[in-house]
Amino acid sequence: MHELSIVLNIIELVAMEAKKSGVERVTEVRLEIGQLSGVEYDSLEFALKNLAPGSIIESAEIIIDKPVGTARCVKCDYEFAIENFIGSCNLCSSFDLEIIKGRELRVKSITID
Amino acid sequence: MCENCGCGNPGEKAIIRVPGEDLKNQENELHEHYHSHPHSYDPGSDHNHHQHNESGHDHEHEHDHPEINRKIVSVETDILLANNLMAERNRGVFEAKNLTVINLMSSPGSGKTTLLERTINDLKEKIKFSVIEGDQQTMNDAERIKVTGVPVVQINTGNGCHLDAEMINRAIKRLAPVDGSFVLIENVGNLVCPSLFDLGETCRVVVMSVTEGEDKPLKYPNMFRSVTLCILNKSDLLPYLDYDVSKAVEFGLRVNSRLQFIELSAKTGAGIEAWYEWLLIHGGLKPT
Repeated sequence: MHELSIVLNIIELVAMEAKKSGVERVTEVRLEIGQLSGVEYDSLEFALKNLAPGSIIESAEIIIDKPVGTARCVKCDYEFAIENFIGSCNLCSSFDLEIIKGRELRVKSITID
Repeated sequence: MCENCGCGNPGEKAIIRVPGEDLKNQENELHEHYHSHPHSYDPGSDHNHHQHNESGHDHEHEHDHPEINRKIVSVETDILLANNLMAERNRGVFEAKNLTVINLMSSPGSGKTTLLERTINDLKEKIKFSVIEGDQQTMNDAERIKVTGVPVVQINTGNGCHLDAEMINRAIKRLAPVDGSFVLIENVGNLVCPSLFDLGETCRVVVMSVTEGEDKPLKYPNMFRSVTLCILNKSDLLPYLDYDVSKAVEFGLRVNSRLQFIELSAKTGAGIEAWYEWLLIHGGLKPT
């Protein structure tokens, strides 16, 4: 359940940004959590629901962008969408794949009044 | 959760101690908080934001709040930034002290501690070791390592499911390893959470025992993708099991095409020389 740590880190980052902007609450938090990031979306939502009360994100709407995984074949450079790490190049069947998208774990933006 | 302030960052409630040490000595360290406490919610606010998730419609429409100057602040920051920065600090310390730091991960019961015991006993005349043990509770593993005679600290993560860079930073200060030595980190037994947390280690190793299923790499791809070596432990049990080593290797390579494998038995010592050679190579004590 590392999603708890993830959410605590999100709250800390948002609190820091809010402080920089001199506000005490945020109305929206936009996250980017890739489909290959190793984060379980259900667990993340559960952790958000449980850790948000009393924190800076209590009244904020949380929007989660979920970029799909994209791999690039190291052998032939072909780029294609993947759902998990188990797979081979659609073109040359090589297993040597570089993940170029889908591992994002970012706070993209916050909206303040 | 910390009893004083309700803060629940797993990295900050971890208890770090050496075998035989009283828990009371840890009182101050337990309450060493580095982060700000974001308890700044304004309950008096009358702004009721739409609950988009509950009403089920999408978020692409224009919000109409003429009375409010809404401002979007770009953050674009990695959620694990704090951990990654601390991991890089650790890495700098390890480099400066010429330490070889190995992060050993696995599911519970794969034989990590037995592997460490044997490795230390066989190589301690040649290499200086120290050990960081990670478990949710108990000093059991640290007590076992203590018998080998090398310095050891135990990190008890409480409810935490993984070690993080901040815990290692604190543990390494307690451990004070000598320059040029090896630090072996036994992570919390878990194939999910530790995969995400960089500790600043030199190498990441996963231990898989042959009493588990061959498809562990397919079930836990994040872990198997994050490591350079997979140790197949308990090979002495192979005659009694249906376990197919070639299948496990095939599945491992499907997830991580550069993964190396060493099949061994930490109990009997069969195949363990390959692991020692790997250690010497990665510690710069033997050319590749």
